[in-house]
Amino acid sequence: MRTGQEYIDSLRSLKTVVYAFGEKIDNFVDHPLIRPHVNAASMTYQLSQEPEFEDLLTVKSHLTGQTINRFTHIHQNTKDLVDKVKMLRAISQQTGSCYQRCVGFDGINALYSTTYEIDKKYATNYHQHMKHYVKHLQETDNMVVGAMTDPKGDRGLRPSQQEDPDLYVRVVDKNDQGIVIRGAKAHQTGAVNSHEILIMPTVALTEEDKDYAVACAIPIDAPGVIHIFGRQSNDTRKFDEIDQGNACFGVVGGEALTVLNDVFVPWNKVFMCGEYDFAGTLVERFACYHRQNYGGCKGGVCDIIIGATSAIANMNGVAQASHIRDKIVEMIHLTETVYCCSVACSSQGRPTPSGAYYVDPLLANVCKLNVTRFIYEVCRISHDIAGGILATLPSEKDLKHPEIGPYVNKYLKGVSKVPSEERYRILRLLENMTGGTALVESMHGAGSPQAQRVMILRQGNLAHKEKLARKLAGIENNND
Amino acid sequence: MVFQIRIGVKFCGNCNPLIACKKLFQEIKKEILKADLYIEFSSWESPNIDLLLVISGCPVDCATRPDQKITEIVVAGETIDGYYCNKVTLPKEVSRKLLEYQNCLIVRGNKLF
Repeated sequence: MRTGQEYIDSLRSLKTVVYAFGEKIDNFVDHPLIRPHVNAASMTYQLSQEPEFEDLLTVKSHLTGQTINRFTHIHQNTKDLVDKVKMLRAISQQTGSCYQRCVGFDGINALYSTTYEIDKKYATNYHQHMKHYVKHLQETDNMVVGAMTDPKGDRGLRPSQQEDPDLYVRVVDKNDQGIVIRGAKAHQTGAVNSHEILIMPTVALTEEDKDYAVACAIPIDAPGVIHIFGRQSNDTRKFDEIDQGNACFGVVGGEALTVLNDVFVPWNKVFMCGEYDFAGTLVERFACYHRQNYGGCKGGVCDIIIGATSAIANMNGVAQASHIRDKIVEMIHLTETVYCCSVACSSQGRPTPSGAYYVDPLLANVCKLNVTRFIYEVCRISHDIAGGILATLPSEKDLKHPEIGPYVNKYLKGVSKVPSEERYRILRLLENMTGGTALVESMHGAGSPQAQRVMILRQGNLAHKEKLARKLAGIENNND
Repeated sequence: MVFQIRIGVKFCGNCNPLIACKKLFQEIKKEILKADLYIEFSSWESPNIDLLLVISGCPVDCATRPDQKITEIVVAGETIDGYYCNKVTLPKEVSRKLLEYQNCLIVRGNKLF
């Protein structure tokens, strides 16, 4: 297993093509826009080396029997599913930010079970490819970006109906060596600081969309791959220190638009090619694994928001007011509720025919749908308690200015025994963690709220519930 | 005669700890020095440990155990072996339990002083 520093060093030998702000970035590892996300991802490595976190960050591989980083593991039981959630919360408590590696983790788990079932139906060899690939990841401890979301174009049309056929990734050529893919993947979390990309379809497909039924793995710096780094709210704050809030680990994961210009993939890294009837299965499994996470990862992020809110209440001298205490109770209640949901969908997991364990899909979707609402409320309460100063703080340059600084220090004082800079730093942390990009990611990460509502209705077993009600109302025969 | 005991130490994964596990372990080591106990700490996976000290951050105590059955002292949040213990007195109480264990120890020839 790699250490955090070994992970960071490994990125330097890659030839990843990254653009941001109109420029090609040669040293993306140290670039201020990207370095916080590198640091966050490095914690998924670093914590695996520390005794008080290894129980969650490491596990024995079912393929080799070796101890591996859990992010390269295929879930073997419900304990694995629950430990995944606990791991995510543990890491979030250390970073206060997204550390990006779970998308690839969920991708390999979804593909592991789906390829098994494709092979059973079509006598293909994808599951063997997948097992070799997972072994490779376990041995190298490489970080994989799970690339699902296509740009999609006109959402009212199928992939094969789009005026521009490249708006969904598709196979444009095939030969005895491999396939060639073309298109792009949007919102790619952690792409620029990963080692590999796992391409997957983003929607259920029909026979007309066969060319879009493709899943494969490519190196992050494969010829033809270009990453265009996305802007975030306040991203120029990354060139500051205190004003960035979470200077070490940033906000959210650092997302990119990843362009795939006729990228070659050898057959041994292809996990689906034309088996369109399994695209929906793959998408659904990936989505549920990913929705499972949010009570863990956002639970940990909310722990930090709650801690910062409590701290600022103390610094403001209002911590003992009953309405403040009650609002903090509400924040804890909402956080533990989403955590409950993640634990529940994990504990109710079940084996797939491949032997890999899968979460309860209904509860996983309930989990994520709750997160899309509750995190906004947690952030709203933090703003309520922190006060309007959250939105009007002077710059850190003013705080440190030889002439103006004393005014900022004097008039930023809360309770007398707390230095003004401490109050300033906590406010900046809260401001950056609870605004803009962070909220949008919680809303749309792992699928938009309507996607969860569709799944909840599908899984909700309405016919059975109606039957129960009719029975109690005396409408049905009791022997029905 | 004095016997040295070899203790494996296992932490839980600290997903949301109620106590500071690593700090607690440092304080237990200080108490052991004060109490003059002959203790060697080693990895929880070592084959020749006499006892396993489990330090879990909360009462769920989900720390993985080794395959072989072994005597344990379990700190899980503010409990020792299931009984409440204030976090301030935890290090002393763990040290006291280790002394109790040392007093009714299994003799291991190569650890005899």
